[in-house]
Amino acid sequence: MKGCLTLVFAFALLSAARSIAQERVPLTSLDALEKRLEKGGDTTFVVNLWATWCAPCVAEMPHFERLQREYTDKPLRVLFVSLDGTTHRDVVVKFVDNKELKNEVWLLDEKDQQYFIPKVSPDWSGAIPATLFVNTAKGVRIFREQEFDYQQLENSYLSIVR
Amino acid sequence: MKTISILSIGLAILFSAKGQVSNNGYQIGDVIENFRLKNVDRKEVSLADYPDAKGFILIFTCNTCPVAKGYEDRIIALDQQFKSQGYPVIAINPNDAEADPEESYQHMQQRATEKGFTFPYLYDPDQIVTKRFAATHTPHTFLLQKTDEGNVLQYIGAIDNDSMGGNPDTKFVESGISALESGKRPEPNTTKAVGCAIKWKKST
Repeated sequence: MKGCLTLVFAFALLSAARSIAQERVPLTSLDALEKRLEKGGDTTFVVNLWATWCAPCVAEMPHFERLQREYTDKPLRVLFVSLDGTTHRDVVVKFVDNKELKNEVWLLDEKDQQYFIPKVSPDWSGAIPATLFVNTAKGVRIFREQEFDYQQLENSYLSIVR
Repeated sequence: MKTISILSIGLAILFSAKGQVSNNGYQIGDVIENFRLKNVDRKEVSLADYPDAKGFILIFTCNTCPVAKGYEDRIIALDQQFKSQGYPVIAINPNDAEADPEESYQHMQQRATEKGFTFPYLYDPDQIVTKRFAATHTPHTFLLQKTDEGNVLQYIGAIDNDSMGGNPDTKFVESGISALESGKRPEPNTTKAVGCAIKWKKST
């Protein structure tokens, strides 16, 4: 009986730990994400669309981390939005943990690619890496289907806020 | 003065309209120029080598992209199902081998053997054909229909609507071929899917 209880307790602890870990990577619908960008006022959002399986995406992530660090006192918010799919949430959580990412990381909860790809941008073929720059107050929404180095990324950001 | 302002507005409209055309490759309804590329068996393959074909399932795919690799079994199945019906699969690797050594011709040969590809897997070393189609990612599919005028582009996009899990409920290429076979046009004729950006040759 005692052994059984211990087992139940261990299981409960384990699943609690798992759900705490999962909170590091919350799910978001595209609609919820867009609402946040819309309400952002003069905040410049840099939304990087990536996946754990995308090598060039992983390669450019440190530049996005650095951008947020360098402009930490500015109204800038860098968001990593993963396209790994909700069934791979554990993979994303583990990745974020291993890479010690500091930026916000979200997991896109959308199944219909015919809906969400054109809605992000009519210019998006679906290829990643891809990045969206939004500043609602300035009426800026720029989409780039490319891999960034730090200089290109910083220049893109500065061209919006200058 | 008025003329000038009207002219400048006209120009502005002209330029903005021009600016929107980001895809400068073949469009739906265009006749495809024939090409000739080296297959993994060292022989050259051209669309003209298929006198009996009614069309082609042209797929830009590669050795390394997890999404493309996730589709390999489905691409083999497409070839097995549709080659006998006159629509063979032709695969082309669009990636630059210098940008990623695992995309080399030798690695293509290995991949084709490992997976037992039943279709040509062509090498596009100068990315000329890739650019003509304005392919952007792997896998990226183009369905062609042979007509008296030549091979006409009828569909651009995804193979099906599940690029992540392999459990699709809508098969775009299959239904596109059914439409062509019954004298109709694929609907939709353009779809989008998440995939790996093509690795372009560094411009010198």
